[in-house]
Amino acid sequence: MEFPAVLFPSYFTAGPPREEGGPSLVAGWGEHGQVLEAGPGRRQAQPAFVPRRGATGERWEAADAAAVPVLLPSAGCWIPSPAPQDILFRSGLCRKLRAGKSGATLDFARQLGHFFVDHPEDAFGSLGRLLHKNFYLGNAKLKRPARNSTIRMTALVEDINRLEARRGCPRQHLASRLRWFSHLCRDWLFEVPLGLLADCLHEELAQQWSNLLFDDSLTGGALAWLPPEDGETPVGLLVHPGGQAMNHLYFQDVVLEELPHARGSPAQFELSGRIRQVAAARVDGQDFVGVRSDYHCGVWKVPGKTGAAPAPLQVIRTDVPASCLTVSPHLPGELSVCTQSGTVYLWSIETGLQQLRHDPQTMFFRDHSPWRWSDFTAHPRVLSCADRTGLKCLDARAPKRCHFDLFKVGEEAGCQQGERVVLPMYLGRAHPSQYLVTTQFSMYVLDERLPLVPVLKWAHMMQAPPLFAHLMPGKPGKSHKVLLGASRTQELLLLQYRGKRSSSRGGSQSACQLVGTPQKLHGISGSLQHLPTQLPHRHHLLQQRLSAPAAGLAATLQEDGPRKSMLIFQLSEAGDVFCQRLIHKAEQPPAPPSRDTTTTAPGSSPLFEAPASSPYGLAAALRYRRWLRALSRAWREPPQHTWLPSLSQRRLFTRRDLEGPAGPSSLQKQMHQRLRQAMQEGGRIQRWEPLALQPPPLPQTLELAGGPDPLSNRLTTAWAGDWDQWWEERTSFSVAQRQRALRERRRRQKRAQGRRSLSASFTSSLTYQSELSELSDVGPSLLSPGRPPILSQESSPPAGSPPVRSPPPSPAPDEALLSSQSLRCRGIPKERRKTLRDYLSVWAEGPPEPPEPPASQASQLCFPSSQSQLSSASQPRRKRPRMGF
Amino acid sequence: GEDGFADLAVEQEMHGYFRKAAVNLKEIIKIPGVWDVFVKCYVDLLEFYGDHNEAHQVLNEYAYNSKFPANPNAHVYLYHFLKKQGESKKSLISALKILHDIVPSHELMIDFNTMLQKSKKRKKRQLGLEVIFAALDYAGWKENAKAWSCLARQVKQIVISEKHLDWIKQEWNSRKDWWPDFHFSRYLAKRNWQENKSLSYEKALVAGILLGKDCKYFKYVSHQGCKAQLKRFRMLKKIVTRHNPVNLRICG
Repeated sequence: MEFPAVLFPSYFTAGPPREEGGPSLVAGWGEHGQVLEAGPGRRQAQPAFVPRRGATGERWEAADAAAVPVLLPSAGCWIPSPAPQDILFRSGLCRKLRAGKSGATLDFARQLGHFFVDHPEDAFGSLGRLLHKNFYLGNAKLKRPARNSTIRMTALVEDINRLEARRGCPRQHLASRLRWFSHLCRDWLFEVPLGLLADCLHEELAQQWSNLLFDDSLTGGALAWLPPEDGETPVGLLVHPGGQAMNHLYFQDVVLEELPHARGSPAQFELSGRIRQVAAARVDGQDFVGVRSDYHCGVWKVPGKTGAAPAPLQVIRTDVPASCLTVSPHLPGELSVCTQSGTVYLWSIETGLQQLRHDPQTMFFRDHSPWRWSDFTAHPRVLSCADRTGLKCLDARAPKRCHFDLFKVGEEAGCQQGERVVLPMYLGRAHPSQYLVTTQFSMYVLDERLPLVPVLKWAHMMQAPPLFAHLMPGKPGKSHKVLLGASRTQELLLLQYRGKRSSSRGGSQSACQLVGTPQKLHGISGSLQHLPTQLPHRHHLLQQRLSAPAAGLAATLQEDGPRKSMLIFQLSEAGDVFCQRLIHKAEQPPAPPSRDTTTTAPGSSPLFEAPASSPYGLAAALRYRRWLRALSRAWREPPQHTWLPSLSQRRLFTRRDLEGPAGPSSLQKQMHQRLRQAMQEGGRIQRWEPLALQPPPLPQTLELAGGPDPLSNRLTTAWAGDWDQWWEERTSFSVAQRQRALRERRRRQKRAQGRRSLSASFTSSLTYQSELSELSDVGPSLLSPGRPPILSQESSPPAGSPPVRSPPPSPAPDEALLSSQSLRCRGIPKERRKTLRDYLSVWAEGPPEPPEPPASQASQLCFPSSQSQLSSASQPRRKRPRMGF
Repeated sequence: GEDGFADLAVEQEMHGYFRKAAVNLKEIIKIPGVWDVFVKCYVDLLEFYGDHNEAHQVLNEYAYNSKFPANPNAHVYLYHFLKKQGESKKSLISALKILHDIVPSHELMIDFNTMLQKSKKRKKRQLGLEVIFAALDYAGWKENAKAWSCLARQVKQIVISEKHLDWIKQEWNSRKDWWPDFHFSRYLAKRNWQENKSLSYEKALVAGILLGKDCKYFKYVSHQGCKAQLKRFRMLKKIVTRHNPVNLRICG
């Protein structure tokens, strides 16, 4: 390969990167960079110049409004990785105080608290058992003899609760009692030494947070496309991870038609770790696929013939997590592996591992990141190795002696301050001696023959650093295409560059040029706005699913006679593979500006209202429908890991405590009878009302019958101009009247109850408040139809019925059950009442998933809010991250 | 007459421009960087005005100043300048030797190899073998028929004369574990045969000498060549079979 006869001019100075961030913020947009003369033989008129950037390139246009799923979603439930709100400390005050400082505050205390609450047996099991008798949980004052050996915990708990309410306040003073208690117990109460536990937790939290900011373990991407050997059959192999823990490796045949679709079932391998990277290269007509997880790397061979099964060749295990695995494009069965300890290996299937370099320090200046990378170069025995500060090339035959610097983060490459290498990649398929290096700001093309001076530089302006790159070499005379992909933001950028021969006569190669404007492509999450409108919680789940960070990138060029198209596959962390097609446009007058995708309303997209003339749009819409259906099926299946919480009551109460005052109530008897009857008849019970004939009340008709509703009343008066008066009237008259009635009732109750404990009066005052608040927002409570008919306010539930079935918005049954009186009449001792109330309120807060009503029933009970309530409960609850426990 | 006067004026004006340009270009070239365009123009100007010494100095400075990046073009310009000036073989070889040291895969290595092969000195011929072996290490040269024919010619020469077999042995030692897979696989034999018969001939000759007559590449190509009744390939088989013992000495 010839070296370009003339290079674009540039300065070269050694040293650290510049202070300020580059020449201008637009960073290359509209700039042509340096110029060169267009070539010999054109001297006659004005000398023509070619720019380094901005030459006209090929035009590629998206065929569709959004990316389309290639594979159906896997059946298993996807557990999203922790989000910032799970780890960070949330407090307005705290944020204000720390506004000046950079850096986030980790919510250390909450996570430690989670541990104590979730694993009390592990945290203080044995001492808890020992001290059981010395902790008193009741409300009453302790008597003399007991006081010597017993602590009243209720007061402590109250103090803690008060502390919780003032959470985040920097001036909070610990109650002296708490301080005294913690001082006394800190050293011996915990099963795991507190200091050690805290250290481990803090380390883990910091690690999780830095992973959230930038997770470099995904570098390289976990998706590979193995094109067909002959290039004629349109069937390729997609290699991707899947499964709940992303630890299954799939080799899926994919047919490239208008919409690529899977053919047959994939070859599947279960691995012992989460797959971080899938790298592939073709040598002598065979594909070698390297797979990296944290502590294992494996290599598979895929024979060239289509339909041949992939065969695993070898696995290595590392002590330190591996950060890189690349497959040699020159020699079969050769790979390079890097670990986070700073070691680079050349891994040959035949001869094993050869250590090329070991240096825990970074190469050119000090950087804390343990990330290392390595790739092959034009010489099969020379490997590049990289860290965040730059790239070096080593000769595997004498790695200590023969090496040279290829790229340095510094003034040599015109880097900015703080710029770091994110992903290096060998561009051998386009040009044997070219190299791609991406940083969080720019992408560079390097030539091994002229180290340290990038032959091309482009500020990519992506929001997140590009962790994935894919090269599609162009035919002679055509531009090479490079795709850059970011993980967190799912950004995709298409760049074209050229290093073509300037003329066939001269035969000399022209310098590297960026051609055309870089083009932003659809991310997976962009398809959300084109999908049909969903119920809010479904929308939220879908949004969460679609905006999962990207985990890989692959692409292929497809030539079908004169039609050329590009297929781009994107993998998300949830295991979804999406695909989009770009169509090559021949030179033609620029089309009218295409429809702005960001302004289309949900559900009203051309993706779903495809005209009959374009079968492709229709196919995409169909594909989406099928995908959504499969996804909702996966959601509906109860995830196996969230079984219903079960607590043993045996220790808390005796059977007599829990027994109802009498036998089953008349209502229960009636129900039993109906059930038995229905079973005998083989029929079914449609509703549980005692009088099945009575139709469920329709709340809105009531209002309509009684005249215009308050809102239209209010609007009418407001329109007339005397809204003030209306409001006065309303508040002074009706509210005052009802308040009076309430007070009267309360007074009567009080008189009837006589003396009672403080906590009981607290409960009743709570009821009073809730009634008041219910009163103040009359509108919603009148309009709210969200109550299942059986649990209407009038029919208070029978005393024996489990409180579990009561929905959160109606406090009445809970109150009835939890009131001190009812507890007392069941013979539950005073000091246990509070505990029982807390215990039961836990049940009332998080009701277990009610079963989805069968379709026929659902259609009858079709109240929008009640339905959404039901299914929101069925949504898998977000798992709290519990660091390392 | 008047024409001559006008010509003189134009010439003087041009000279003024030249001097201005020369001053500016000289200043630019002093700054470390990649100034291929300016160096070329400046050298052109200097040559036009006959200032060959200055041109030589500029090119030397551009090639050998350690503050400048290791630009292969600087050495290429110097080499072409020296060649145009009719400098001695020795200085040409030393210019190319430095280029070989920085970029062993440069396309001028073929010229360098031919130049060295013609040399009478043994050391130079040995360097020639080294240069062509080193160039063929690179993926970009894998299918370069010219380079393979250079190597085949030199290797054949050595084997027939049975002198300096140790040169081949020395080069082969560091390559014998990966060249067979890199250059002489059966897959490549098939592809090279389909795409470029003369390339496959040269490669088969080298493979036959270096790896013996049982080498996959040689076997496939000679079989195909005999089947196609090409005289060249029959000769190839004869040479390799006759010199097969040499192979044992190279590998041993």
